[in-house]
Amino acid sequence: MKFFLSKKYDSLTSLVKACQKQDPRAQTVFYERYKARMTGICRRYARTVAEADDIFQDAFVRIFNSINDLKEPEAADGWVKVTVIRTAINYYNRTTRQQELHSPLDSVEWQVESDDYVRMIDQMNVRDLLDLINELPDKYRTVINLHLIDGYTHTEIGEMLSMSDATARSQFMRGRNLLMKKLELKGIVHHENF
Amino acid sequence: MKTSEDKLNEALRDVLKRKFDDYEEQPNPAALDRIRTRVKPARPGRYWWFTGALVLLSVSGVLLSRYAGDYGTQPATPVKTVTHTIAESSPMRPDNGKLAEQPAKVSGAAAEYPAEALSLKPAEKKPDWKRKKVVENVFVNDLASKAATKVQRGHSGTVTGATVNRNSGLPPVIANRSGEAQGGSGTAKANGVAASGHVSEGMETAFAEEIAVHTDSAVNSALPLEELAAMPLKGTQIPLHLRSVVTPAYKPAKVIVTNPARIAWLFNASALHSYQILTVPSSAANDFQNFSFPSLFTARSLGYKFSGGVERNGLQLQLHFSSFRQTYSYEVANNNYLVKPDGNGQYHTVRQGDRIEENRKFSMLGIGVTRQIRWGHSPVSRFYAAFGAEYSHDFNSSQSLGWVSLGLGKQFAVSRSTAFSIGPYAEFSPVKVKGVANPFYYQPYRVGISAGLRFVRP
Repeated sequence: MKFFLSKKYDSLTSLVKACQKQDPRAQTVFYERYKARMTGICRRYARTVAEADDIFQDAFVRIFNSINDLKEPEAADGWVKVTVIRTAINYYNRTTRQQELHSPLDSVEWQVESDDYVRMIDQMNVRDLLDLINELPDKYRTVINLHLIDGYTHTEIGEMLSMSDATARSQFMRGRNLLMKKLELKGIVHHENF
Repeated sequence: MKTSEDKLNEALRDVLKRKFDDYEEQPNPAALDRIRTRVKPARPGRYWWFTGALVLLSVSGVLLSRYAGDYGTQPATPVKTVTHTIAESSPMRPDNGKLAEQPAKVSGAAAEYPAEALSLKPAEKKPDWKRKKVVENVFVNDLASKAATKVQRGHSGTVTGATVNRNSGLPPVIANRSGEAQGGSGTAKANGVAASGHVSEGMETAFAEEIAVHTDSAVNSALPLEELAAMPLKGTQIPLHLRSVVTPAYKPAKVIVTNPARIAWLFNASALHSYQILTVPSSAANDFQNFSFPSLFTARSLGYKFSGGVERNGLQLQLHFSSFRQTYSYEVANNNYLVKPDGNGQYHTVRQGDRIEENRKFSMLGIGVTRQIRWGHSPVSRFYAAFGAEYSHDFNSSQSLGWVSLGLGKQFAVSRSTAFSIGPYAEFSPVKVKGVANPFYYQPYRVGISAGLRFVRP
């Protein structure tokens, strides 16, 4: 990630401290620094682009309002990312808590070798892959994002989503299987197109 | 040992991380503006505000006590002051005991009240404040010092026609004895009114300094000058044992002194029980349930408040330091449900939650303005009511609160300069303060008892 820093804020610490003093110029620089990367994260966790925009704005409002809680300015990168992820989780807790998680594809047996899935993902366009992830039910999408991409353990996911480790693990497995089925379908379509 | 599931997960993680680790997209161009409208406004001057308030309080206190406390205040009721000065080295006539006639000096005030404006010696020009001080030194505005004033008034009564304030009940003491008691008498004319002054010989030392007399214009106007002139002079024996400073020992009474024109120093301490109005915003991400608050009276919710400041004319400016604790618990609802039978044989579903304990401490420094009203006729106590507004800053959360306060109670005199006040006190914050680790909003209010001391020069 390329970070743009103005001459005035020559370090992340000085930038964060200026934001803690609610300097509007620093807030702009801070926003510019993180906006593209955090939008990418929001797109992964959100179902649609509009929802990703909502999450992104909620997250930055929360970041600017609570940046005084950030005691170690050097850790701002991680803090911002965690705040965005938590905002996304809260967003779906709030809006789609009652979503039915049992998809018909859950129970489908998958026959493709694991290496084929990896190869398929590697060859896929990021946008297409993102669309596939976005099609997953909210809980599955969240767990897949948290565990496979953002590297959280099942225990951490359980704490974040107010569920047990076992529930987090089982939801991940179901979500992963569903993603694979979607990949498989996508791959078949892809091959048929050629 | 890694299973095939683990290997698949790792392979998926590697490829997905590779794809998405540096994935970036541009947000909505209007996003920053929308974010700015929702971010709390900046308050850059809050620390300067406190510093400025502290300096202002200190400077105003010092200045007011210096210029208004000692010399600056004027009596609230119009009281005329005539300085009656007799030189220590006044020439005496040993033969008839009369003072050598001195030119009478009539000042501006004396011209208006000629009978009072007599002086056996041209009075030294003194600044007004010094005259006032002389008056205060001689006459103490207190009933307990009446004995002392009577003696002084007896001496000043040697000038006929000079009506002494609060002295109408006392007969004028005129020393007309010759010989050992009466050293001389002086006669002065002013505006055609004869005034004779008889000063005892032994009183020279007593009259070596200025003696000021309070005159009451109402009494003067009630008694025409002609009548006064026609009144026969009645000689009264001077009690020899009172000729020098033989006033009875003066013991200050415990009289409450409000003295609103002077600067009073205030110190208060309050023990307050804290409560709160808690608001759960509808936009909160989670469901919250089963809130549990402390009982109505518990030590956990007890806080304190210390205040110090100045008061003048019932208007108080004070610095406050207060501390209180906010304790309660609640549950964040999760997705686990329990089905429980109720007493009617029916079943109902109970949603489970993770209990969160809140224990937040507020340590606040603030500044406030209060208007205090006192009433009552008792010489030793007064009722009071105080209405105020305060701005406080919490050191722990860096949030600010506004308060409105109401205090009622009674003030008791501890000494002539000190009053002790006690009474119920309540304050309420119309400003909502945000929770630290939760989305709630609080409006604290505190009820308790306040006690304080008020120092003012009588």
